[in-house]
Amino acid sequence: MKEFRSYPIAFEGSGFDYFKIQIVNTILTILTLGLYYPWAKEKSLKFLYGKSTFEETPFVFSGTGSEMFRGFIKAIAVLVVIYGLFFYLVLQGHNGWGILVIYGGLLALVPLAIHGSYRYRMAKTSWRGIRFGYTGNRGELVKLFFKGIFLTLVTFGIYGAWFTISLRNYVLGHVRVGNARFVYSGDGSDFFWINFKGYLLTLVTLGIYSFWWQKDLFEYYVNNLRLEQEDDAVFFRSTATGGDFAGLMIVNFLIMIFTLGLGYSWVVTRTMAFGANHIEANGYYSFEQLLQSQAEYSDATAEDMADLLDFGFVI
Amino acid sequence: MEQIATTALFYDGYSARPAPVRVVLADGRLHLHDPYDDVFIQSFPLAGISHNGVGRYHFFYLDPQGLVYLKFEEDHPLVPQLLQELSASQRGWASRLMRQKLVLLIPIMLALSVGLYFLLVGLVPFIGLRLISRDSEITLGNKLHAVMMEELSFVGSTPDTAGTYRLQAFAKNLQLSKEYPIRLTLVHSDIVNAYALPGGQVVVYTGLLHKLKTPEALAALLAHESTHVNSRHSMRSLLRSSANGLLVSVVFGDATGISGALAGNLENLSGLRYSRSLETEADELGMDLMRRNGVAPQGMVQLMKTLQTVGDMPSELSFLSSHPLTKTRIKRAEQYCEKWSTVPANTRLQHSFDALQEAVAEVED
Repeated sequence: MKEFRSYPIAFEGSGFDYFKIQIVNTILTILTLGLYYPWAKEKSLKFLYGKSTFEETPFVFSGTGSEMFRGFIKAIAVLVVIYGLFFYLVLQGHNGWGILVIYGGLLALVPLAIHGSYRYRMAKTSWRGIRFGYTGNRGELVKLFFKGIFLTLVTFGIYGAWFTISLRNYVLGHVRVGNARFVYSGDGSDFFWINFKGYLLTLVTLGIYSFWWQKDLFEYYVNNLRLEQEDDAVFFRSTATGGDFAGLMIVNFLIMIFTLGLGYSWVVTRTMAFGANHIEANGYYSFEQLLQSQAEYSDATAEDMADLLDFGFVI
Repeated sequence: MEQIATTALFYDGYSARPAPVRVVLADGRLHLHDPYDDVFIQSFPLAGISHNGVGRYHFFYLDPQGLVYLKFEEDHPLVPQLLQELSASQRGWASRLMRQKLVLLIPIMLALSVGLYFLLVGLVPFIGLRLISRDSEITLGNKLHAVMMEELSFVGSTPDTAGTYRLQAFAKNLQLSKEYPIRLTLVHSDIVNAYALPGGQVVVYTGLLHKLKTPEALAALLAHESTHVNSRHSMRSLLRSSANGLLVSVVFGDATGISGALAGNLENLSGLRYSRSLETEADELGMDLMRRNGVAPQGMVQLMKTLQTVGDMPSELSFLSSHPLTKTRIKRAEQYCEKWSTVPANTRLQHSFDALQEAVAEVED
């Protein structure tokens, strides 16, 4: 008989430890005139993953600075080509073509960067020695992305909610950990109403409702996620309230202001701990059934591209 | 040989189900044995092992990917020695720095930031000015000029063709630049304004021209603006602030900052704001330029005093970017003039000046 149980989630990193890592990263980044950046990222991610635990077992990030450095060079090369072509066309007087190249080029990079960065990040994430993986298809994601962009444009942005959820369903639905799979079952119209209500009430309450809006968004993200293997499943549930979010965000804001940004490390660890403390996992699954099934993948080009284009990892 | 043997949980990287193992630390390696029949399983060099202590446990990862690992209880007898030997085997700058105290690390970081700042602020303009050719500066300036002339109509101003012709005729009496074609445009507007674009485009507003009572003051204005062009002040400001942006992105490891800083500063090219030191340089070299053209440098003092009386100025006004016009700048100009004997009035300049003022007055009527 399967037992319904809950799985503890925690983040145990201290802001002080993370701050020290950031200081050492900064010193080495300056000494190398910025070239240390990928190794700095490795150190930060290893810390944040290593202090995040599920069932008292930490996650492992095994990406390396040298992989991300090679990826960084390739990503820069792609951007140089796009920007170079743009400046060439504009200086030749073909402004229209130039703008087409720069917007079209950068836009086309977005789904490629999402796909590639998920592949890299998941292949480099493990838990209990079992690798994560991303099994999405690049062509399918590109199609989904451009269809979404097109429909969002012709509906003056209204389709944006459905677009976001379709990407999320696709991307998160192709995340694996060993032989278990994640499933995300979001619905565009639910997401639309959350945002519609959130936007209106935030306006009416002069911004105060934004914490409750944030709570709804977080809840929608977490509660629609589950992990499945055959008949077993683990469900995730948010326990955060709007008041919790207000506390987190206001204090984070004050830390940033009064430390002139130096307190950023504490903002990160506080936020991580907040997430861990406000997600519950319950289910029937015994993680001892997990088997290594996902392939190794070490090309970090897209991961670096996502950094360069400045969009977060999370969809 | 000293050996410590004890049991731990072993995760093999194939399944998430752990198995108990007997661990022996000897010869700089961890040896794993079956706890029941003591059969040897595998051994791992300490140099390739990494550690993470979290919650009530210590995790020792045996492979670079962190898939194969040992889990120890917090108070396990092997942990202290293992940690000590691991820390001794760790090399590399990052681990060495991580062993230092924050009181040492923070001053190092601050000193390096300041050092890098001076390096970049010196180096970037030095290299940049050699990389950007004068021709491309002129092309860029012309493009900016064309855009700005188009935008004039939105604020209800127009280029004054007849006045521009007269202003150019006035400038023909002076040699303003050896390297750049100085091209002047007179804009019909009440705004008291004048600015120089990179590569030689200089724009003067009639609102400013009206305030100038002598040809020397106008010559001073043109000499000042031409110095911005000749000394490539826009490029220098652009490169200097790009260096600042570069510093920020290096320190904060934010790669987008570089392109962001460049984009932000391209705006400054048309925003035409110069630092106080560049303005002072434009005053001084401008007066040198006036003297070489046989024009009394006192015109600069007249120009400054005239502008000082003007109330609200557009913030992008090049001549007044250190607004309000500082007394130091006037004083310096006066001191400069004292060093040189008075130059006789230039009649040709006076003639062109009168023609210009007439042409502008006609349009106004």
